[in-house]
Amino acid sequence: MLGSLLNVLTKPLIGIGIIDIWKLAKQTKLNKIKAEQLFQKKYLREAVRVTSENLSRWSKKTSFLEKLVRILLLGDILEQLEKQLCQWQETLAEADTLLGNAKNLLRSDTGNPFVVYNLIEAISVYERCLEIIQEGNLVQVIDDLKQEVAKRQQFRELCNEAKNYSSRYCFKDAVRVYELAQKLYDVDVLQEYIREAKEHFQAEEVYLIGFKKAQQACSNGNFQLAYRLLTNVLQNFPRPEGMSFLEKVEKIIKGKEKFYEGLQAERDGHLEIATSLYAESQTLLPELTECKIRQGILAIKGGRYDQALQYLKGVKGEQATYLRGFAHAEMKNFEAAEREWKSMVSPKIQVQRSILQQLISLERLRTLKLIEESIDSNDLESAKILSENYLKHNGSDTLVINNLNNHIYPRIASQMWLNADLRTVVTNTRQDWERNINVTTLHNYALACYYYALEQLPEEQNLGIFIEVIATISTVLANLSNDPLLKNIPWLAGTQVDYEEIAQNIHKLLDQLIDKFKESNLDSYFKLRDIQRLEKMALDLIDNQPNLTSKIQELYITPCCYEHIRKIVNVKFSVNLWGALFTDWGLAIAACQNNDIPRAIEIKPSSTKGEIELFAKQFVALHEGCYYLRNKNWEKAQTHLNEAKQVINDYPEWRKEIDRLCGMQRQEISDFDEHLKFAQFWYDLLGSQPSKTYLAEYKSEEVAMNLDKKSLTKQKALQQLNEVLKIDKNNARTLDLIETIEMQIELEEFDRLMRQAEFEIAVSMAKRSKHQKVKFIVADMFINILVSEFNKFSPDLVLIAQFGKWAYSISPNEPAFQGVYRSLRQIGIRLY
Amino acid sequence: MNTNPYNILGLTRAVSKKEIVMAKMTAMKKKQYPLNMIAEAEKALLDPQKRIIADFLLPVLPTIQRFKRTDFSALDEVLLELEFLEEFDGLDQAIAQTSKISEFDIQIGKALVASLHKPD
Repeated sequence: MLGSLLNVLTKPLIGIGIIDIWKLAKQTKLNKIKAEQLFQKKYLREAVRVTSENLSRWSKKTSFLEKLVRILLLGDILEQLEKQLCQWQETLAEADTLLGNAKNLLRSDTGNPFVVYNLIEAISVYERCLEIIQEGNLVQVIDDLKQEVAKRQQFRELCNEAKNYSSRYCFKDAVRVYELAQKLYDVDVLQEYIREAKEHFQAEEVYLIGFKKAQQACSNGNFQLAYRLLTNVLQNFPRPEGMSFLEKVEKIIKGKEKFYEGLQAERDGHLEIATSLYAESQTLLPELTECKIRQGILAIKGGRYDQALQYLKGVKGEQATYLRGFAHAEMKNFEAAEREWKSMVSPKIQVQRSILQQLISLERLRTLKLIEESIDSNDLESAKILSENYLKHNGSDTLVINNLNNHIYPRIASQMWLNADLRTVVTNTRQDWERNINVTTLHNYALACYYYALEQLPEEQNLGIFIEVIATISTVLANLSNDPLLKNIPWLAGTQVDYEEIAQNIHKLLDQLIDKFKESNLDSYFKLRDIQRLEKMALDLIDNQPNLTSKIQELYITPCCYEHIRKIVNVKFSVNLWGALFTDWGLAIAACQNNDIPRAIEIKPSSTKGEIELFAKQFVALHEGCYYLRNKNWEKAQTHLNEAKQVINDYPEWRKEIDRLCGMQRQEISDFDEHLKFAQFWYDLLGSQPSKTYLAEYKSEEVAMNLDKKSLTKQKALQQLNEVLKIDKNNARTLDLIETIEMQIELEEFDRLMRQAEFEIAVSMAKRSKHQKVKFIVADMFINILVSEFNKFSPDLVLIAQFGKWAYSISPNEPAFQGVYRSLRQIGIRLY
Repeated sequence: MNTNPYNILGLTRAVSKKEIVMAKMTAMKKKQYPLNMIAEAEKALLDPQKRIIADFLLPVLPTIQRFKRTDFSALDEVLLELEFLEEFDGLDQAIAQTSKISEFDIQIGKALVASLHKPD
């Protein structure tokens, strides 16, 4: 009712009723949403229609007031609608164009099943169209087209298959497949193909019968008949399959012919021709084992036993077994011959086998005789080779083994030491050691190296052999108590062996050996000395810290000796001093241990790999650092000691030593800043009590200096001093300074309060002070004021009483003030 | 090796002091080594501290046992020889077989036919 009234009232003003326009605006918004939903679902044509209708409800000619009302109700929705409509119409036109193109493509398809191009193109265009617009049957159309394309493709595949059959002379199969294709599309050209193929049916039938017969003949081993049958049918019907069959049959026939010719040649004594014919036959017909046997026989007849065995390899049957056995026997492989013949039962073979056994015995005797002859002529090397070869070919033979192990080998070893040149002895003993790591092979190897090095002339001194001597002798010393030479010494008559004394004397021998280089080659001398030092350090650890060390194959092996067998026995060492000796850092470590730091610095490697080398590097760095400290060069020591921090923590004795050295270094420093830097380094490195005290003192001093220079407030100074206390919490200098500054602050505050006549607060502050000295100063000041007032001509007793009470409240028990307090009480002043 | 006192005096490790002195005399007569070397060697072996080093500087060698010999009289007996048994030659048999269809022919014929039916 009210709405109608409003409508009527507003119509003359706006040109349209306000309620009508409001309803229309609402409907327009709803329609806009609907159109957009349609567009989202690709119902483009519908979306355009709804939008067009939506816009058409609004007249284009409007009054100013109506325009105003439209803006109020719709904003710019009508403009948006017009823009949307324009865009959608353009898209719709594009879709219509695509649909038209697809239809044109379909129109140009002639229905020829061999052609699919237009259909595939049309599918592609429709699919593009489907991306833009959703039209009723578009999906169905695409599906139908795809099915048609698949059908045509199947048709084409069948036609190709059938053509393939025809080309291979399989006309029946071709027709069968053509007929399958015909069921898909009955086109004229197929009928033509079928007719042409059927014309060959009769010939194919004849071929198939002939081919089957040929197969039968072949299966019966009648290759000549198979050949004739195949030749006959293939003349008119050259099917490839038949041609291939014919070729194979022909090859068999030729192979057999060559074999037959070979047999005849062999019978006629033309063995070379026979050999050649058999070879041709084998090429054509490798399966013909008979031919292999003939080849083997010819090889045996020609004395070519190795070749005979090759021909007969793997050939089954008694004949081949006999022939192989015979060839082996002729080659004096009697055991192999026996293995071949033992499965044969023929009595004649049994006779042959018994002869074989006798030959085996005789052959053994011949070998034993040769060995004995070699022994008699002192040719031990030949005796050794003959024995070893005999055992290799004939397996175990107790007599040969015993003679070899208990006589030939020991004699060769003894003769080697007597006669061979020492270079050969070194090579042989080194090989023995590498083959069999034990204390005996080690002893001999070490001795060979020692004597070889001993005979080196100064000008031909070969450093390698000297290194080997040090390495091997040191390892012998490491295992001295197990050395067989020092067990049961007959002339000692039960007296204990003094291993320590022996070791000392042997070290002296090594020293004499190394000294050979002192005059001629100082570089080599130093190198050998480094190595000897490393080996000695290892021996030292074995004696004094056996828990650190480890054995390899039940022997202690020194680092340099290990280097020679590293490729044979690879050991995983622990991260400790023993492990470090076996790294490239070993020499530098040993130099450090010997207190020869300059040499350690000179020879230390430039890089590290792995955890053990890192430990080694830190160990050397520790010694370098201490070396520089001893030389009062703490700045140089700093880098090395910082690097060695971890190792320092592991060695308490080194911490002590560094503390001691740092204490000495401190005495050498005069500059304040250097003291500070050095103290900081020392503290950072060890954090020991001397370093804490030292650093705290200098830091406190620094604060005091800054306070003096007024470059620091008292509060800031207190903060810094409290930080210093974290370094050394009981440092007297720091604590004293803190107390002084705190007192100064309190007294200044007291002074300020007094000046501002805040007496009670000032007195209360003085009472709370933790510093007795502050209390004393303040109370003393009050007492002084009180006394001076008292001494006046007409003293102000109230003032005196006040100052007396304040002084008493702050410092009631101070002995110095007790006289004043007493006097005050006497004149009737109450102090509390 | 030749510098070892034991080798200079031609002795083994078990010798007594008397034997050492006697060996010195023998070595001097042989004149294989200079006299001072022989005297030094004797001195070393008579001094237990030095002798033990001389012991240490000898190689460890295994004991050499007697070589066990064999009776070879069997080798003088008549030598036996293996002969090629003609029955295993089979040439005539092989020639005779070629005119006939053998088991081998049937075998390879069947194998060939079977191979025709195998797919390529």
